[in-house]
Amino acid sequence: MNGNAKSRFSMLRGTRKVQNDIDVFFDTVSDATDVFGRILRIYLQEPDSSETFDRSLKQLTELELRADELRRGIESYLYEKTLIPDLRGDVLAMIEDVDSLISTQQALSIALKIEQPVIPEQFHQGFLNLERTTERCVSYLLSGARAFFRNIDEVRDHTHKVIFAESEADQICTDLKTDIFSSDLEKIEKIHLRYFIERIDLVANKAEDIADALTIYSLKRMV
Amino acid sequence: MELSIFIFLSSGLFLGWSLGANDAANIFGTAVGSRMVKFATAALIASVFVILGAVISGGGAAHTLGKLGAVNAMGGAFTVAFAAAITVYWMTKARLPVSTSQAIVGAIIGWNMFAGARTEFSTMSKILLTWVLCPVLAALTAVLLYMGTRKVLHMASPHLLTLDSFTRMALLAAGAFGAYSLGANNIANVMGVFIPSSPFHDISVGSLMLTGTQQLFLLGAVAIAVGIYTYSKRVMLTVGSGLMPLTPVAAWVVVMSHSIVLFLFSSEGLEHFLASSGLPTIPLVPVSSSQAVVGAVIGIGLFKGGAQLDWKVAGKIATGWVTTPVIAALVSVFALFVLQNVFQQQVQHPIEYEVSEAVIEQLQEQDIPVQGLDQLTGVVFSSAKQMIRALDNNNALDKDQKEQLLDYAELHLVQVNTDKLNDRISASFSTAQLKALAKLDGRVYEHPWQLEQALAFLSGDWQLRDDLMVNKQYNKEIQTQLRILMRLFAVEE
Repeated sequence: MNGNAKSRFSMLRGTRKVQNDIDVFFDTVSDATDVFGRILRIYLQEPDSSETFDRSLKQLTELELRADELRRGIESYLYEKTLIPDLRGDVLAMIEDVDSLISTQQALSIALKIEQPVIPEQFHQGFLNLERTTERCVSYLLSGARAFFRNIDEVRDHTHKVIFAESEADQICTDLKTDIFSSDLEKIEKIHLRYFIERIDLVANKAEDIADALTIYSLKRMV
Repeated sequence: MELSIFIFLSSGLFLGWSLGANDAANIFGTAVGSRMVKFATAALIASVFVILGAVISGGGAAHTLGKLGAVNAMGGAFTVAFAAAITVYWMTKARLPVSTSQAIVGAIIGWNMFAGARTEFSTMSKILLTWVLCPVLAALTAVLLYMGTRKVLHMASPHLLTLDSFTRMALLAAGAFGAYSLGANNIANVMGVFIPSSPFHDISVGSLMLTGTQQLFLLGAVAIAVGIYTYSKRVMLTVGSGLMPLTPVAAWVVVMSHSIVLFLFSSEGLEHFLASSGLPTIPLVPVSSSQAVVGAVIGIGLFKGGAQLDWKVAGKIATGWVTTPVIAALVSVFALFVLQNVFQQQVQHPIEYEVSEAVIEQLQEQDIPVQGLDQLTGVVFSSAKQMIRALDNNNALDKDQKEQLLDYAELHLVQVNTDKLNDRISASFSTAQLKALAKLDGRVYEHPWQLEQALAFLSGDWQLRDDLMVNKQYNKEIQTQLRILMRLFAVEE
């Protein structure tokens, strides 16, 4: 085997590893979203179980670190081997944006732990609905991102679902804020809750922005 | 071998350099410009395959150029190649789209005009037709290939990174094929004009035999390779801001379409295969590599709706079709005038024409009317132009018959002398052909066709077959053998 063929072979092997890393990265983001949902449920439904909360928060932090590590590895390989030169910028931007979703969820979880907002029981269902809708947004987005790499024709279907779910999240967010601000809570408590509602909704908004960009990237990727 | 020969060949080498500098970008431009392929890899592959294409398959298209105008003096060949090279260089500098094929055709026509030689109408129209056919065929090929590739990719749905790896390999393979086709098709532009006055003799290295023409092509191809290494990088890196943005897969489709079309216009093997299968053949003509690429890009652009196409750029490219041959012809005439009159160099061996008794008899045998020709009998015309002028008033002959009369009237004094046949040349003839030659030893002929007829009368191996596509290759070989004899037995007056 000559040098050129050898380097091609090792490049093919390296490419397969990066493909796997990209899949693992999306799996990690998906897991992190599940864990964030669990953290919110624990906070609302098991207020005395701080040990379970901390364990889940630790798990989320580990997932965030793992995702960062994978992202850096993918970025370096794509740059070093000058892979997909026409789409590299788009792919790297997308991966960084998707990675920021975990950071947002992690920051929110830490804020829950530190600030301990008082959430009256009548608003629990609203918070849980908002989180579930956000989770759907992220899930559709990850399907779209995976399709971008493997089946370009399906990207649009998934990004459309993200946009639809995000508008649902907006509606839930508005309804929840209306209910909170028309309740008997203190002004300061209302504003505190609004902050958390908007931070949860931020994940859905970010997912929508990434989905919009993904639609454009997929048009560029069309042969 | 005289040093002056290399001085004369230098203009061809300059033209080869320009071709390498410009046209390698058609093959590897997008791949290198987008960093899909390293320049060093692209240059090596392009150089090796250009040389292989030129030496192995370069003969086909050269034959047609030779028919357009047989530039029969080294000084003339130098000037023709120089005029084409200067046109290409100047137009490239001025950022005007240019084609080496069109430059050399224009320059040859310039020589024909200067030397009073005739420009064969049928060959000229064949070349013009291919100039239109080439981009159209490239566009159609690109659309079909594009549709097929999309379908395959849709079915296979490879991962983006897997697709990227395969596209890189496919671009290298397409580039190698493109370089081979470029060498095969365009080497005639670079060295074609030197064939009639080629200084090289056939050589054998072990079991490998290189004809004089192949050595000439090898030299030209090396000049192309030098052009690729020294200048094509900057051309490649500026590619991309052209007609339309292309994805790497679409770029592969473009390179493949370009390569297929160039190959179609240069493959003698394919021509023979088509002819023997009873299918229509594709004329073997040097076509423009750039126009094939432009055709392919426009094909894909139109298929995708045409919105991404920059028609202004397309229009600018189309004007190059007209301006290039015209400028090259004018430069050629001017340069020939200067070389002949200022530098006192021979730029042509005059070809004389005479309507001899033998020609009249021949015409009568072919049922071609000879009324009015008696006034011309015995007159020796110093060029085809003079004789054509003398025939202007003759209404009995139509255009084709006048062409035929010119063929018969061409004077080319030969004396058969079998002593001049060395082992190498003898080996290329059959025993029957050699026997026929031996019988004619010492005979003198005024017109080339007289020797042809005499040989055909003595041996079936010298007879041309019916003018059918399927016999084209066979007849071409006989005609090549006859040309060797004409050169060998020519009597210097």
